[in-house]
Amino acid sequence: MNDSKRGHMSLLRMAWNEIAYRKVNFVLGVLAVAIACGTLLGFVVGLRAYDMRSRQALARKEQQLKGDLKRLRNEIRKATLKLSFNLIILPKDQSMREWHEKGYGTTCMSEEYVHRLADSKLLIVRHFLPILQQKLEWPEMKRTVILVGCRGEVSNIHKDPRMPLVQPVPDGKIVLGHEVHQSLHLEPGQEVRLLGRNYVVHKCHKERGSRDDVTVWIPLSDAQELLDKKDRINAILCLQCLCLGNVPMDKMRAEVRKRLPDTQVIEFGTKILARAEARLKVKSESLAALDREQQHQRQLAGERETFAAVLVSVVLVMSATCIGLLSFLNARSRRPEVGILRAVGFRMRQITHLFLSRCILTGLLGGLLGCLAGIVVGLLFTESVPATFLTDTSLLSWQWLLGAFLLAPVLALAGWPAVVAASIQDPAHTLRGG
Amino acid sequence: MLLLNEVSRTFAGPDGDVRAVDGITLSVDAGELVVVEGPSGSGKSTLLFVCGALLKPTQGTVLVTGEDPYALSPNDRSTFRARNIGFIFQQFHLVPYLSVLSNVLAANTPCPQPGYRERAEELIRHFHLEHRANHLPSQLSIGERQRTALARALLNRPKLLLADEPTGNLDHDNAVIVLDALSDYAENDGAVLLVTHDPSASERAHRKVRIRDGRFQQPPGLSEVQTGRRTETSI
Repeated sequence: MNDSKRGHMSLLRMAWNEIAYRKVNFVLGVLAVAIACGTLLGFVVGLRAYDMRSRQALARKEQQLKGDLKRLRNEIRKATLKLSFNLIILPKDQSMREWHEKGYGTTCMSEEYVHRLADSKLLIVRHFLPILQQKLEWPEMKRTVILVGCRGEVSNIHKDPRMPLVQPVPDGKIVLGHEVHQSLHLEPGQEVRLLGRNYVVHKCHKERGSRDDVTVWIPLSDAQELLDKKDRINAILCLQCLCLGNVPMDKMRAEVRKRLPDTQVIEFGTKILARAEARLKVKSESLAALDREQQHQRQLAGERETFAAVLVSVVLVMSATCIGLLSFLNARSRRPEVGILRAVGFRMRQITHLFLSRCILTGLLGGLLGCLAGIVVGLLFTESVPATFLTDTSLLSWQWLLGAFLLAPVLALAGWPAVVAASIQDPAHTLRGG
Repeated sequence: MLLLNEVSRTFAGPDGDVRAVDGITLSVDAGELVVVEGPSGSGKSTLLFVCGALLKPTQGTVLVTGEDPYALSPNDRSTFRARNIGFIFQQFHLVPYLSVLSNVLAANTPCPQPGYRERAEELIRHFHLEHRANHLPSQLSIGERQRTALARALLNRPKLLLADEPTGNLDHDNAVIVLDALSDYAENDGAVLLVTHDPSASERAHRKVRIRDGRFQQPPGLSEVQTGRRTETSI
């Protein structure tokens, strides 16, 4: 009774007393506002939760695809290694007939060529392997073998370093083909002598069913000295990178010839290319499938948002109608009251304030309840979806909460026509019983 | 205090305009209690609302304390009403959600002035409502409701008190209380215009006029109504 202690009733106090007197009408109004705000926030939370779940599922799928593709690339690398090389560069004067008959080149070129090739801006080949090979009589073992001098790969300085496809033979070591170590009963760690030099068996290959079975590998520099071909090689093996597998072979050959004019390039290993292309096709189709899934999710999200917008709009309109109707009923039941208040001197503005206070209280309380409901829904969803609550990236941001809370009094103003009608009514007409 | 000069008020009806009040001239001075009698529909209540600055006449002038309330803006007229005019109705018209004390104090809300709580309590005591001060109108008897309405009407010490059948719904004892209050008010230099059918109310009038079809039945100056306290000479 603070107001009455001051000697008059404040309008807010009167509005509060009226609310307490007509509880049902007020509670229904508050519920209408709360349902509208709660529905809005509920849909916001629901849609954002769904979006988050979709994004997480897509991210998982993408991650899985990346893993699969990585595994696929490694498989291709291994397959390429086993099957042989893509290109071999030979001196220009090397007879092809002889090369095919013997299986190796009989003419030589400078080892410097491989460095020139590696240092050039040749983007389509990643691995260069210079070799010097020749069929010869292994005098210490009294048998014929193919001697291959090889060194580690020459790195292509224009590209990222990659794991070499062929490991070099360490100094003082020798690697033996299957038939050689089987027939000579040699094992890794044993010492052998080749052309007057001692070597330790580094590795014994398994059977390959190719010329490799009758081949021995030693360091390139040793082979050059033993064969008296210092700084000379008779072939450069170019191992094509699979990620560039869709580059046509003609283009690769032209690129090499441009840099090393007095050479010839022989293509082999088209099966590898076919496999690489198949893998690439798988990759592109996987990416396309992922893209299609993303588009589908976006479409579904769009449809859901449209549906939610329509439903929320319907709920808002229904709530506003409900509030308008309740306000109209309230104003109608208060006609005699308005009449007497006007008679005792209340101005129209004061009557408006009296009704408006009720509307605003309805809106604020309804908004508060609606927001609380939204927060509860948000918390429930947050438990199932990992998200930071009440931040920009959360299910329910403070902007949405504020928006819903501000929407509530605006919604409550649906009772405005009834307020105006009440404030402008003719007190004489009302008091006369009209 | 109240002066009506050739006041008319018409309403639009289905068969054309209806003159509820037709060319009435009347004055009520301070210290006077004037009773208006007449059958239902004769225009008594319309006359009361015209006097109370609630219903603008279609013709004629109304002066209350020498000022024409209808010449004021709606807001100023409301303030004028709050300060100068008190109303009592047959149906009480209490605000249903306010207690007795709050209903009485509501009369001070339009133009709040300090110190009115004491006056409100004094009026409540005067009308034997102190035990009901915090009760809602729905918890009061009919008589208590009318006494509350009377206290509200008297809170601002209006110069003119307009009463529309204030004893119409009351038992004898409550009617006596209300009529006593109106008489006392008039004795203390208030002006009272009382519309009633109650013979006991008429007995307290300083003057009495009869109205029919919106017009006084006796021409001004010819009415000689003997009351218990004063002889009326004219209206």
